[in-house]
Amino acid sequence: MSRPEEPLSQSLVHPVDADEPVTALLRQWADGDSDAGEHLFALVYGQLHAVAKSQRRRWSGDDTLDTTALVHEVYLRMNGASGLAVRDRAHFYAVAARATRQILSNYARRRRTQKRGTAATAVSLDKLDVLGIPRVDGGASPLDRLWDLEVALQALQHIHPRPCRVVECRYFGGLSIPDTATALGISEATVKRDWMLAQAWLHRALKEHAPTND
Amino acid sequence: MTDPHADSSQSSTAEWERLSTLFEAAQSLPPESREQYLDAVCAANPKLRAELEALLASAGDAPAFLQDLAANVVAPVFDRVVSAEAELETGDIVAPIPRTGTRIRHYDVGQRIGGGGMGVVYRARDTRLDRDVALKFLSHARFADDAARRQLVREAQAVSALDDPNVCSMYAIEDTDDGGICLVMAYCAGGTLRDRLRGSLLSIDAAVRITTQVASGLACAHRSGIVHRDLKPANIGFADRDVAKILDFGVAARTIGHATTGVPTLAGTLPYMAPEVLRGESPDTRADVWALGVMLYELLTGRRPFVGPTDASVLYAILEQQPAPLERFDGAAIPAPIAQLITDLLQKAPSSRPADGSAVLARLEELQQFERDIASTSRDDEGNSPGNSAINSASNAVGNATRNLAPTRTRAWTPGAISMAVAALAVVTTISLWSYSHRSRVATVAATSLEVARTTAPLPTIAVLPFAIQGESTLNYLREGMVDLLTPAFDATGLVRGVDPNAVIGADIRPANARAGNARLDSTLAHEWGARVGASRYVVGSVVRTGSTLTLRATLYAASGEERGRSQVVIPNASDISLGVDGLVRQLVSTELRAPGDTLSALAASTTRSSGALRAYLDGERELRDARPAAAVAYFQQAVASDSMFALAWYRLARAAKWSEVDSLNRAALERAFALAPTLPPRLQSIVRAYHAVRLGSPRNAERVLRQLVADYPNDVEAWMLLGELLYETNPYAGRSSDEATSVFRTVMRLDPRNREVTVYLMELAARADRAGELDTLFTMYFSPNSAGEQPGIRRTYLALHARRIVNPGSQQTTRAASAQRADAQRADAKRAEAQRANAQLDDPATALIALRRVGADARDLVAAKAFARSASSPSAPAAARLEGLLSLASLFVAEGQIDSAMVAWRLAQQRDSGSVLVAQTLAALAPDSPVPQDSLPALHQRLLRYVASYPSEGMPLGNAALSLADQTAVLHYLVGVLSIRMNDQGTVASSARQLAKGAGRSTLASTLAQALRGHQALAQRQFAEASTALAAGMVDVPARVRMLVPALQQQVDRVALAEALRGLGRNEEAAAWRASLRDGPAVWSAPYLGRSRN
Repeated sequence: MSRPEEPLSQSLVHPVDADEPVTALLRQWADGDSDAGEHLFALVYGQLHAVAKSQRRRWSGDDTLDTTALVHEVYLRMNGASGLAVRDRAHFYAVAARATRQILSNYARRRRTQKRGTAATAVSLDKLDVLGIPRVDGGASPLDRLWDLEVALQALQHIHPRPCRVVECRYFGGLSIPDTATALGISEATVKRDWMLAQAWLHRALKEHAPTND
Repeated sequence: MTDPHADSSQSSTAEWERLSTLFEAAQSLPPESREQYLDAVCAANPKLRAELEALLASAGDAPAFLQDLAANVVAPVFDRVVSAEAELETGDIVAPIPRTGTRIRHYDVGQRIGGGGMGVVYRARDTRLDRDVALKFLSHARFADDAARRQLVREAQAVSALDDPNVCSMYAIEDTDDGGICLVMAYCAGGTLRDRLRGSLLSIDAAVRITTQVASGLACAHRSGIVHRDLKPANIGFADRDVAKILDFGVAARTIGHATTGVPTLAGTLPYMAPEVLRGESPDTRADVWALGVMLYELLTGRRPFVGPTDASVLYAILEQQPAPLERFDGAAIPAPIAQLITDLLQKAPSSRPADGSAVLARLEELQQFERDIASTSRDDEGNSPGNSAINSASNAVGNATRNLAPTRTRAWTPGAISMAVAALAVVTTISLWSYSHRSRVATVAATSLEVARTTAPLPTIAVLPFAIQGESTLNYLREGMVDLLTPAFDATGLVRGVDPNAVIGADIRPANARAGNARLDSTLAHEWGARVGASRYVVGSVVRTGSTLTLRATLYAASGEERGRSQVVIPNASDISLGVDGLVRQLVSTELRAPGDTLSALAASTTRSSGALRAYLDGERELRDARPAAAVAYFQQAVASDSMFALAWYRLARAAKWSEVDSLNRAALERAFALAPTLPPRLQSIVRAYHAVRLGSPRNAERVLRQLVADYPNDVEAWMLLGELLYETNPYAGRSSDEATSVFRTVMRLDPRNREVTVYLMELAARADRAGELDTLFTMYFSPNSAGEQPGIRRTYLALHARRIVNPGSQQTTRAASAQRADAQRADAKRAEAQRANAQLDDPATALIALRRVGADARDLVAAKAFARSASSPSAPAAARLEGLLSLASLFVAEGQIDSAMVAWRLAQQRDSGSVLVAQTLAALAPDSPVPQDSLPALHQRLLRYVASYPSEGMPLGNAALSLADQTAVLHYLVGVLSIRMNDQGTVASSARQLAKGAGRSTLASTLAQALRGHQALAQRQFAEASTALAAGMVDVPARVRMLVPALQQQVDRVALAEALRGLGRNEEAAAWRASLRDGPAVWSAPYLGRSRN
């Protein structure tokens, strides 16, 4: 009552809820504040881990964890039911897709480092196989194949950053073509073109560079 | 890393654009024209052409190739990243800043050796002191986080204060070149205890020795006022082969006296968390003592004491169940003193446990002293070697001494307790036994052979052999009659296929019949017959008559002749034989399957003859289990369409309709089930009648019936569930605590760990009581991406309402720090954000309504409620939703004291239902400290009187037409009466009372409300005793369904008045309970009555 009244019609249309750092970060990031982007990335990255971990904490079923579902879960957790505007949502998913890729590549890198390391750590790599990642034909383990994918992506990113972002959104975040377009601020036609060519590009790169065994 | 493509292309963005344009164009051409096209466009650029050709060649298979990569590499590896992390308990497995090979100060960083909750640990070489150390860095995600850094420093300070051989030494804190810090600690060359447990089972001696060391370290920490809070095998390291050290004080807290300081946050690892921690209390040294107990148990048995198929069942096992029996796989007996110690460590009440590490250490040392004493005597006696047998023989020899150790607590491991624990274990190991229709789910525990058969092959077969009849020749027809009755009954369970033995061995049965007379079937002959029928199971049984009572007994055998289960049913007379058959089948099937409790599916089979209906029914049950009530409604509707007399399906339809919030369907189906109830077995009749009473009749009767049912059938999941719901809904109107409902729902969860509806209730209760740990666990379980299904509305409701309550130690601090840092920017941003978010409300009014109806009294909830109400009342929403939304919004505004805003909402609502608005305004005016200006009361009073006078001829019926006209009239007269008391208009009060008395014949509500009105009158005259009696009398008798329809029937006015009357009588505690009851349950309408603490 002590608060100055705003006309109801307006308060009906503009709800106020200040408990949302994500929106602010997204917007600052969109406005060119790269710190905000990094911060958001760290937040999403942490959440992705926390959620994945709690999902898998123990005793879960045998089903494979669906990365897209996981990203969605993170989205819901961080944004609540109120959700974000279309544009912010797309940005958010793009960040989450990047975080997913990052988690995978970090893991692959670390495992490979261990592989090159001492005998003691080689044991843990064997354990990985015990954990259920099958070796596929030709001797390339999924880990090798994943690493090759990451290397190819980095190469693509190096020479053509934008299509690499498109791949991230589509491949790791499960974003639709319109969402990807919104997230990256480019047209749908461009997304389609980039996506088509980038797929061919990656396929060629991965065909050419058979599993590295360093 | 090297870039393998650096030489193949130096494309700029422009070049990519060109490439992609050409690529797209070429792709759109038929293959035969591409050559020509490329010739034309790449004439001057052979390199471009080569690249395009290569890309075009790759293009066809590219999507399939990447999809394959996604399915076979990306997804599984990601899955493993996460699960390996869980498996290894190493926390943050990812080290985005690889440190290996770098040099920090005088440390050469080596391999990464693990990660704690917030840090990453590397092995390193201290080049000055020439020794190995462990360096702990902040993990990447926490790197920039000041709170995390402070925490790391706090950890260092905590540990450096400890000087004990069994606590990992802290050497230093160093700054790193990138602006971070790292802790320098002793290096544990011998790996962690988790590593050792992964190998073979530890010997009893080793388990005790290690636990003693940990206890010693813990004693030191506790003496210094530090609680570890995350004690577990992964946090015990070995400096060499033998010395155990406690690691990772990352979440440790300081204590003052017993209690830890600061805000209790949820920390730790679920299986090791003490009950009080899960309840959200501040953990103290005794939480560590508990964790030590869990560890000792695990070291001894290789298993944890509290296990379950889901996090929630682990949680409730910890909270409520006895540990699983203490048994080793190698068969070695665990000495009684050790078992006793574990029992003491795992006492649910902290006060019953040893107080701290020192107390545990004392116990352990005592124990080892015995061991040494006895070992030396036995060596004297027979030159025995020390080892496992030492403690064993010790325990046998010192049986009496054991009792001296803990004279008062031998009771907990009595056979009774153990069998309880066995029962608990049985529940736990039968994850999906009844969920046979979960086609997608694979049982993850060792299954019984029958279950394996069920999932991998056609149904196992079962043959019922002729029964022996004793005591009455007139019952001889049952000899083969039982075969005829039981065979289809087994069939109908859908779990086994009944085989009629007559088809195969009929020729032998008859002569044998004559020969054997009524004697019991010889077991050899039974086995032989069973084998000849070729069934994988056979049943042998008998019928015994005493007076009119029949006792039916049956034994289930595997084809091998091995007994698998027995059952016995007593029926009052022969005409109840179908009941008996039903009971036998259920008992036998559930013995074999070890069903978690009686579920309705088993009973369904016997109550419909239509196999199509049964199939649909079972599909409906599956959908309910997977939390898809809407889909369940469709299946149950299909079931009753196939068999309109299928009472059980009608009943379940009513239940599913309630859960999907289709009130009208709930009522119609329930009426139908109620009408058909006499066709059901007595127990189901009681269930249906009880539910009818809960929803449409008297809750008090319902409670009586249900209490009786659960007393008779303690495993009846449905009866427990109904009881829980009843208490949940009516306790606020009975001045009783919602804890009663909580404990009943937990019983349901224990009997049926996969029951998802109960999860919803438990979540709500946990949220209301701020039991963050429980809420988080339930939430995770309910909404896990692995779970088969979900209801988006419920999911979003819970996210919106409760996600912020869930204490997630991994992320919360980050979030907090972020919000603190950004707070200023946020405020500046608020206006812009506000405008943009207008489009981003809960997009679906139906979902918003579900959420709105579940809002609790917590301030955070009420803020959220306003957003929901706005969504529900958006102009595009269905009229009913819009009305409820607007009225809710008004109620919330009233609660905030914003009467003008409330008026606007009421005005908008008035166009739709002026009566409901009047009712709402009256309720608002009657609230204590109402912001409705007192001088507007006469006008309101006049309008209400005019409305009632013209009702219902001119006024529209109130809100929901489902409320009968007589009931609606009663509600209006009651409100007029109460408001008139407030206005001191005695004449109108009297006439309202007369009207209510007149309506008593036509409306069940009228007499209840008349009572309440008398109570208000008495209170106005300060006749407290009379007031309290009158007000309490009718309160609980309003049926739940009706209460939902009119906000006034939530009786806030009455409860406030009752509290006042009780206070007048000096019964302050009861008064407080009634006041508190306003905070229990949906809070939108109670909000104005909660009292304003806002500014």
